[in-house]
Amino acid sequence: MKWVLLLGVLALLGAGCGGGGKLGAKTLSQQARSLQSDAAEGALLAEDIFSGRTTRVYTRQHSADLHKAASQVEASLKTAKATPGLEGKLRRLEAIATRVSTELERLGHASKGEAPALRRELQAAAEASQKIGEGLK
Amino acid sequence: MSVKNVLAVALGIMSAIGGFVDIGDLVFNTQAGAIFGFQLLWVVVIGVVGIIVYSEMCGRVSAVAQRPVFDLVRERTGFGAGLATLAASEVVNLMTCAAEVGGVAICFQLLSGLPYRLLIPLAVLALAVSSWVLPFRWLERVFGYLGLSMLAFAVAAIKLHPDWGHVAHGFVPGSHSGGSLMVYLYFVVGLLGAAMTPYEVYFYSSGAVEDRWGVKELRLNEVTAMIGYALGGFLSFALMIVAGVLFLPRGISPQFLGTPALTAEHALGQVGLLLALVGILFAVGGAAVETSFAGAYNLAQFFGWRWGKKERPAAASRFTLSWLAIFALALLLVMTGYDPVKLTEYSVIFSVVALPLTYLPILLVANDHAYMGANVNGKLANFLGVLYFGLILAIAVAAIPLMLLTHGGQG
Amino acid sequence: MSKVTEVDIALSILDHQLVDGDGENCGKVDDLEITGLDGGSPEVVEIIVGGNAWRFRGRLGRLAARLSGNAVHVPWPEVDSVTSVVTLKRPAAELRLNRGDDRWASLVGKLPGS
Repeated sequence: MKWVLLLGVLALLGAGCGGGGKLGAKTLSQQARSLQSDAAEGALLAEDIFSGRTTRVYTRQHSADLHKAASQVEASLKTAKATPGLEGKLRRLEAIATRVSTELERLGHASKGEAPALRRELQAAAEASQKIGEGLK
Repeated sequence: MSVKNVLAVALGIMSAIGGFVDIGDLVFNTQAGAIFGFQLLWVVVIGVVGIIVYSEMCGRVSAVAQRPVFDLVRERTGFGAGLATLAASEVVNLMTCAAEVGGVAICFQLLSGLPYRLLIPLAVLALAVSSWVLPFRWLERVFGYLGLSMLAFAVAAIKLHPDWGHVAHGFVPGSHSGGSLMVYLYFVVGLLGAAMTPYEVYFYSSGAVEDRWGVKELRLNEVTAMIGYALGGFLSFALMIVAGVLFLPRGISPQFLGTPALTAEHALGQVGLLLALVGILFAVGGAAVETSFAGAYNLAQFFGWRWGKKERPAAASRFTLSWLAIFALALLLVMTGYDPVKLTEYSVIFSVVALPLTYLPILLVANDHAYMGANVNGKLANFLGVLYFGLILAIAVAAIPLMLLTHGGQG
Repeated sequence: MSKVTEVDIALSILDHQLVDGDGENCGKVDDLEITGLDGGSPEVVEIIVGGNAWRFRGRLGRLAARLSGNAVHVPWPEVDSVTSVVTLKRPAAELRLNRGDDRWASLVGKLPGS
């Protein structure tokens, strides 16, 4: 009995992963949401850098974590092939991901002066990702 | 009531508050707030009442029977059932301990900037040394009091000016808006699981014996359980509220342990950030110690070994080696590099599945006249106990399907 | 006390905690040796503790027993009193109980403050 259950669980898990190489609307919108989240969180952090509310260590660490997450989205978008009709959105999101990744890396050692510009850029990127994600629903 | 009594109660309550939130509560409450705003606050209330009901039972058993609940499981439910409970508890304890250890290492990193992989063994060393050196009561206090730093989140929640009308609405269970029903239910299960983790009640029970509670402490037990955990619940509310105010409107989906700290930072500046990080460090660190000890207590109490911090480490050597081994295994698990936040999600869901097996013996023992004499469960305790047991069964069945269907809350 | 009553008591204490003459935990009642059950004159011979005492407790028990050393046999007359715990008359060491703790004590003892 227990073995049947275990196999069932494994089968379900297997069905969840894999699925071929083409990126569908659902996956693309998930990537867009992920990217929006990273960019928005970066923008929030940038705001706090500007108003002196954060510490250097925390800024460095947290933006590194965000940068890593955004880079992973960027990497998976670069190698992905979209189902027909989504090619344009995929490439646009990929471009946003590259921007966000770069900006989050700069955020790590951004000075107070550099923070507002980064904040604006990340905010814009978040909004752009959100638009793409919502267009896919 | 003498000054000494009031002090004892206050101390107990403080450690309960500071010790209430662990990495599971942190992750689930923050994510729930970021997705559903204040709409799941009512679930936290249900979870808090649940742990109060069962903690009070566990404390009462220890005070009256002079033995912790798990000690009585094998003789009350039999060898086979006892072994099954032990096995389930140990697996879940180990996963949880690893998640908490990972959380401590992350906090160290956010405070120091040192490399994560170096900080993992450092975290385990710090936890093991504190557990070795500090007497039981001091362990409770140090981690409990310093965990109180997390009150920064409560202050932040107020400073961020949430719509208090909407917050109040969140305490009314009901249909939700935005987000899928499956994800909503997943978080109901996760939040309850995070609030009612079994290691807490087993640690509380053995801790009562370590603290030498007797029948005189029955009142203390009630008060500590009720007020301590209730106030601890406020910290969970705060985590959900700040996430609802700051993350939901911006579409931020918390995936890092450092993310909740942003809320305290944004509301209160550097001081808020540092208090939040220190609070998380000690709350999660305290939980790491509790899970490792709970694992050792359970093993020793199943096999009938000598156990307890009250013994010299070499005299209860198998017990000592057990908690050291759990820390060592947790260290290995975390060193694999598996994300502690993801590990937390699994450990909470798995502990939900094990909840019926771990909570049923408590209900049985607390009703047993042979151990409890006149102090068996009264009508209220049994009504609530059975009600919650039904709830626990329901969420145990639903947990894994919901986790799979929603891809761990991703939707 | 009649032998039958003794056997009743013994059967009720399976899996219960053993406590030695000094009040220290020294294992659980893992098994019992009772003779004469079919003959109508049952007698409790001894309590069996630890080691491979589990070999009559189902599949998992047999597996555990295979991984363990020899169990300790505690003669029934060594029992002082029976409540929910079984109290023995003499210290654990004299009855060769708690050897597990002794075995590991030297390792643990290497750490300071043990």
